[in-house]
Amino acid sequence: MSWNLCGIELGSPLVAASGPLGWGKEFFEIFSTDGLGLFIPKTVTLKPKVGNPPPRIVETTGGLINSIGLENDGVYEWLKLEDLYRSLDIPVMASIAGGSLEELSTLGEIMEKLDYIAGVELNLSCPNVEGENWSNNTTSVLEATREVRKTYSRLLFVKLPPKDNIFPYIEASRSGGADGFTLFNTLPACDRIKGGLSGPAIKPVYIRLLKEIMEEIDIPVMASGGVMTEKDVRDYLYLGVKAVQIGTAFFKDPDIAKRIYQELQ
Amino acid sequence: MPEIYSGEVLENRSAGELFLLTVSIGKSIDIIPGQFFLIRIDREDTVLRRAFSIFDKNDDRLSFLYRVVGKGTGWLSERKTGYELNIFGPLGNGFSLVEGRSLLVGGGTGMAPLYYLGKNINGDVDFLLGAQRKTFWSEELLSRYRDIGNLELVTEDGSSGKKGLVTQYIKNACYTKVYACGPMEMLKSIDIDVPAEVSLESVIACGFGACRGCIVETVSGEYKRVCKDGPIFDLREISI
Repeated sequence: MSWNLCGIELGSPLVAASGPLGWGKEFFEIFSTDGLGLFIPKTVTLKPKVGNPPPRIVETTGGLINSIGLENDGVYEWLKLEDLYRSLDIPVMASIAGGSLEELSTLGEIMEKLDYIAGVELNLSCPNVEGENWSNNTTSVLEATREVRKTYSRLLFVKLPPKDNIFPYIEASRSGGADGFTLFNTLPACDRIKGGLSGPAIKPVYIRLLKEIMEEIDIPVMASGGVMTEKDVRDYLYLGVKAVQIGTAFFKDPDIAKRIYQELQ
Repeated sequence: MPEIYSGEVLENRSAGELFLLTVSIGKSIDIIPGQFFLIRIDREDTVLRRAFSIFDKNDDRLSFLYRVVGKGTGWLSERKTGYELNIFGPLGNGFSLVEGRSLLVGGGTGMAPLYYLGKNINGDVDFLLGAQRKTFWSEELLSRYRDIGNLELVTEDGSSGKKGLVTQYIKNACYTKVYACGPMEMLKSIDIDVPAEVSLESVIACGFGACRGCIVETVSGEYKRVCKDGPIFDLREISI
């Protein structure tokens, strides 16, 4: 099987979503890329971010609320993982986020120089960072996308939050230069902590939102939300998405991609 | 290096208010006392594995001591002999062992990692175990601790051993090292002059240091990962 994500050949439609596996260092020490078509490391910011205070995760019925707050050591530490990313036998797409247009522009500039990065996923929708949510209005979605597009010329995906009437946001981002979309980030929720809900509980919501979009417009989409099984992947692929991201399911089965890929064949 | 094992349940029975689970993973592996395993809960309404520190190891057999506190451990307690559990580990750093006389303090289920630790310490071992009441432990379980060290019990209601909390009975007396596991409040109230290591608990997601979900704030204000930087920390890192 071969899959094509806007010109990038993928050996599998399964994508390791940004977040759960961190930057990949610890994960790939233990596990292989088996079953995966693409790896997206945890979102990188220009400067290091300490993230939110504990507790950061709460399990709910059929789901998980997280509030990590984009903790990461900053892009200059992330660049040190070049050897790891080059050594993987699957493409790597960088996930970036920024608190200002300048930051986004600089990150785009840095990514532009990296030939081992297949594309950029612009995270405009982390629900856990105060004051950095670009996806609250279409103007900032347009501006943020345009800013990255100015400095980054290759494949650009934009990750948006789950919401009704998202068409204006998609249109804004497309006119800013987005090639495709990751739909969606986690669902804002609260149970002991405020954060983003993931896991099987959100899948029916995401299927509905995505169905409406896919029926309406023809855009490259990576689906993300609640995939635990092969059936979940098929449900998303049936809607016409290019690839399907797996996130929370790695916690239950770190080798989930290998298993689902075998079942898909 | 941690791996995913299929662990056949050999026994899973109650021991006082706890459960003692023994599985066979088909091969003997190296485990440092204090390391933990993540056991998959095969229910559709849970997404996280549950973390259990190693209680004992004999050849290819791993034992865990746990208490039923929610749907994950509830499900686990219902597994019968022959069930194949999906077990990921060993994870975390583990205790650093020193020679000499050691005091091993366990509050409630915090006693679990101390048995395998005690077995591996080269020197005299004193156990100080605390629980709410006598029925928390089974006599058989306590006798295993007695086999490898001196055992002193503390109960909150005074139904067995001394009355009160374990931390009231920690003496500095000639110990090379103190090891403790239990609730955070208990660990923070330990007041001793000798080197001490504590085992922390947290909700664990990935288990190998990637997701940053299980962090704990150290006294210096730094965030550390319980699953990778720990679960064993120097007491001075978490308590002034």
